[in-house]
Amino acid sequence: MEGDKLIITLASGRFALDTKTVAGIIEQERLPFLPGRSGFVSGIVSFRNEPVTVIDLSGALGDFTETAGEGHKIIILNAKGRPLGIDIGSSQVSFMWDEELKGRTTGEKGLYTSGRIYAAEGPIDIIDWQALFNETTRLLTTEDHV
Amino acid sequence: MDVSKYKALYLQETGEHLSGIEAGLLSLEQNPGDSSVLDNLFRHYHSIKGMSASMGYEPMMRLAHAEEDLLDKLRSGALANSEAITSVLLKCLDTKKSLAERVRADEPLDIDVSSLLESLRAAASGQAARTAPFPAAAPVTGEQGLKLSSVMKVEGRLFDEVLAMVGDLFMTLSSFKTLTHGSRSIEFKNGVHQLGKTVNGLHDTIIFARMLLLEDLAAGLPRLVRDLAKETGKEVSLTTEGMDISLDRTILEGLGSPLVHIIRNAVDDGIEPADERKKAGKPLPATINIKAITRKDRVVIEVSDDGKGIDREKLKAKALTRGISAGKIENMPDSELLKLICLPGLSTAEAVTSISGRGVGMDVVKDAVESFGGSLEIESKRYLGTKIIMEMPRTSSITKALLVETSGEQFLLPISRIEKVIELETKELEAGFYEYAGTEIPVVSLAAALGIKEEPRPRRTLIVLDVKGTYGSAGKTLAGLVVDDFSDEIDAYVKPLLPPISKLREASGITVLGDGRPVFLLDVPQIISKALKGAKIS
Repeated sequence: MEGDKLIITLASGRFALDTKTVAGIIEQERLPFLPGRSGFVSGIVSFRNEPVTVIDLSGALGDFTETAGEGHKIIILNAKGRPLGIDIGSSQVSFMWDEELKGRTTGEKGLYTSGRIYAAEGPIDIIDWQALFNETTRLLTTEDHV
Repeated sequence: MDVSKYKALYLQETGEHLSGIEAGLLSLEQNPGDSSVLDNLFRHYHSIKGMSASMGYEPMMRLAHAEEDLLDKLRSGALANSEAITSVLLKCLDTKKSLAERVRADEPLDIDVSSLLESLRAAASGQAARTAPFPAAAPVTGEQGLKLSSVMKVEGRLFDEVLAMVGDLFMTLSSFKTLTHGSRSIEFKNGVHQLGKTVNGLHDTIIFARMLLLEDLAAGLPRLVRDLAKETGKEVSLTTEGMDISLDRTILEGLGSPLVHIIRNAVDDGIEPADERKKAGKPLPATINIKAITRKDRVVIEVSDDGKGIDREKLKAKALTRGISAGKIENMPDSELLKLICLPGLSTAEAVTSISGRGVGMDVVKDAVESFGGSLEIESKRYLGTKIIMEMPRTSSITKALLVETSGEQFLLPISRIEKVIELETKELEAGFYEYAGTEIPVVSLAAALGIKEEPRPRRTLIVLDVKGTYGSAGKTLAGLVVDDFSDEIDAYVKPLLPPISKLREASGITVLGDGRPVFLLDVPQIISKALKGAKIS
């Protein structure tokens, strides 16, 4: 939970991602179609010539009303060869440096969150994107007969 | 067996062993009692003996055998090393070099090695080694002595890396090609054309270097069948056809486990014990046949046995216990029903043995085949046998594909599957079938199959595809896929689908176009099969 954080401001709250896992941020007008997409999985993009599956962050956090914004700002995350794009629509991003977080983080976990930062402006949930990656894999696994 | 194709490999490996022997003998001269040097020398001689015997190079084999005997005495301490023994071994080494040169030059190996053999035997029996006369040997110095092998041993990983780099070059080339569309510069266009030729040539060379014969994989199967037959007390023989077909090393490697799984299942569960076969009037030994044929740029590998076949009733009962509804099972076409054996944990074997029956295997086979963009079919006749059919590309990475568009989304279809592309009025396709080459073929809308909203259009494109084996084993082989439009035929550098999209059924790979768009290579048999199954149920 240590290290600099990228902060995403959605209508439903503020969320943090470890900057160490952020490979880049790209913007797209529309997302190419991903066969078999379901749930919060929204499409696929390429980043440095590699395909990256994209999920809708608001949808993953249970808020499907926020997807109608114009354009897609996609945060590309990558750790150990497991890339994932997180679509934050037109939401804004900012940063919180490690020094600002000292003594403000707790290990409170949610479905896709692994901790919480108690900032002056209110709590920020730290996204457990590996859990999101695993759920994305599950959503895109189609069983033929069961 | 024609061994000429292994000559280069033999010479390369023998050259390494001869160098090892030379270094070892010189080291032994300095440290006569060094057991590690003796062990290494023994391995070198033993390898040369085995390889030479396989290739039929008798003088080489006889020399190595006699040298091995002498080394054995030295190793066991029954004989003490001496300068005379080292000299004889060095003379033998020079003669083996001469023999290797004759192999390289396709000349007869008519060097008389009897005097050397006599010296080796004398030395091994503790008598003074005779030093002359010996046959003419290769000079130890000079041009011939320092000649390097024309065959290089390269780690397979290096080829994988080079191929990946060629793939990146293809994508860069694709970007340049896109730029040429908006450029008026003839020089630029010529340059991109030349770059394309070079990249294609480079790719072809790498692919050629990566190709290995199916025979290389099949060489270990007779032993596997023999051991399994012994273990189960059954009588089984293995026959092969088409093993001279070459495949990309990665695909060939990936085929190893599936083939072993299929053969284990066949011997353990498919083939009946000898007394049962006798009672049924079936021939002994039972036969497992592996047959490979090429179909355009793909290979079809059929593994068939003449065992008892798959018991469909037992399969249905097992499927019910896995939670598949009775109605769904009853409505399944036979080909789909048989594919249920590929569900994890589902086996129709009577008992779990150390060989098979845990339902682990066929799911691995299916996953392995599909991971290469291949497909798997199963045919089985009760009491007559089972046939597992695997169809897959012969090479990985670069695939010739047609770029098609539907509802604003782009996809790739493998050219090897395409029979014809026809532009038609939309209303001509509304019946769900189309008359092509005298038969009615089923027609599937790609947009509908993928769940994309279809926009009305007066004209559409029908892609007639070869979908052999995807909807009923005795059925037709052609089907039509309706798309809005088609554009270029491209050489796509297709990457395998990795998590989280590794289990997508509709696609077998993905590529990134020159403008950065990711585009899926569609798994045509899966899409057609799923769509037709859905149509039948509804």
